[in-house]
Amino acid sequence: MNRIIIMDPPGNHLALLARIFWEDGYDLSLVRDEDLFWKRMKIVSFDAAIVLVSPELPDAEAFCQRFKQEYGGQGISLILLFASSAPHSPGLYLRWGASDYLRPPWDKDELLVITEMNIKEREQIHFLMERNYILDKANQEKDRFFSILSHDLKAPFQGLVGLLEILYGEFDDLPEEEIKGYIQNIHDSTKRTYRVLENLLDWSGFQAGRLRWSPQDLDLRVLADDTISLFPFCSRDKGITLINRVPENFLVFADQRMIESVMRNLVYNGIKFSHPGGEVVISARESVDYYEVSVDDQGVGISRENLSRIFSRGLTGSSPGTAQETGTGMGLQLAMQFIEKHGGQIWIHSEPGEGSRVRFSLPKRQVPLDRGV
Amino acid sequence: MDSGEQRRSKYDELLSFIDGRTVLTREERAAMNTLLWSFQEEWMYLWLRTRDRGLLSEIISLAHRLQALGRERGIAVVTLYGQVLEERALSFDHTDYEEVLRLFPQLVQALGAAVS
Repeated sequence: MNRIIIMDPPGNHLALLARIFWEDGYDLSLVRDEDLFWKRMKIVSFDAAIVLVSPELPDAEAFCQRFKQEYGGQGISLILLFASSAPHSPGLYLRWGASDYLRPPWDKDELLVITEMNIKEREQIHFLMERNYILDKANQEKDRFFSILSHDLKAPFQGLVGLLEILYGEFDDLPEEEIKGYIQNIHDSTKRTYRVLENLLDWSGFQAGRLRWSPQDLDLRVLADDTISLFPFCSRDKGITLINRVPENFLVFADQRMIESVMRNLVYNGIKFSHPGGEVVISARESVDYYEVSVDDQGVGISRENLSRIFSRGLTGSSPGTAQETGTGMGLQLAMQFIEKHGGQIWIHSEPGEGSRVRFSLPKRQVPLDRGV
Repeated sequence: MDSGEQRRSKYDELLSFIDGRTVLTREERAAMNTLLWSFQEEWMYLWLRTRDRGLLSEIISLAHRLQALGRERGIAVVTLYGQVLEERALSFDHTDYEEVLRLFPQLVQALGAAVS
């Protein structure tokens, strides 16, 4: 049901116009004074405004211009009905912001046709504007995404090429320990690059709908163990201990690949922002319908300013880790999207200098109801 | 009585209750006792929203809901208010139906006074 607001300052035609539009299936709001008109425009979402232009609307130009300024971009039509001969050429009103007009004597059918056409036309324009806006945003995000990504892929490759050049050129002259050190660096760099690619594949698969949501019963403790096993060298590299404190038999109904990605990213962030010698702890607790998983670290923490934009849509990049690890910020974005897909929530609590706690909730395993016989 | 006279008579009947010239029956008072709180809170909120938005469909819907409630609980004046509001709304005369719409807080006050 399309909604229209009809303003007739003298009020002589309101009932007649209301009957015409109501009988044609419109919902209506009827007003006589301008203040009430603007007030209702603010609280109700109308498709069109029908306004009678008469001496009681002294400054029709200002009225049209205000309408255009405040509602022109929202796809709401403004149709003017001239009660008597117009003081200006009606064409001027179109320039000032009206969508259409009708001179007296009004014809009922013409009025209905004009209104319907204008509403449809505005709806189409509004629809296209919205689509354009969404496409623009997506395009901007893609540009930003590629710029961050290319930086994050280029940097480790530059390092790899440099290290390999040294190894290739000076292999025979280098001491064995130094060679081992270079190989270790190459290994770390390759791992980081692989992680970026892994997230990129998850991200693009999710965006394109290729990563399908296939929930199944998953044991959170096993998932936490699997995640920890992905970081076998973090103890040696940064002296960080990964601890699994998830109780046994915490079963969730979730997509394995998505939750693995969430845990992998959260634990990686914990390691990245932890000081050498720190701990990253995965724990969980039970509520009525959900399990809540926490990943805690005692690292550098996050400033209030960064906290507020951490889950904002779009990539914002990531601060370097305590060992200058780089990142795209894509991991947390992915985590948020994957958790939301499960109907869960994700939160971060962090104090600069004291570490961070990232929590997310997942629905419990679905237990079939025993309906009896 | 023509339809115009019928409308006026219903409106006068409504005013007569609001002015305290007519009272609720014992059964109506008992039914109203359980409803008073919802009138003072939920119905007032719904009325306020309906009044501010001024949409004909919402005014008529409010009128229908009050008629149904009045019938279901046996409170004639609530049904009457709904009927008067609907009739006025469907006359499309906005001064007419806004006048009845504005009476709602007074009706709630009168209902409160009738059961206290």
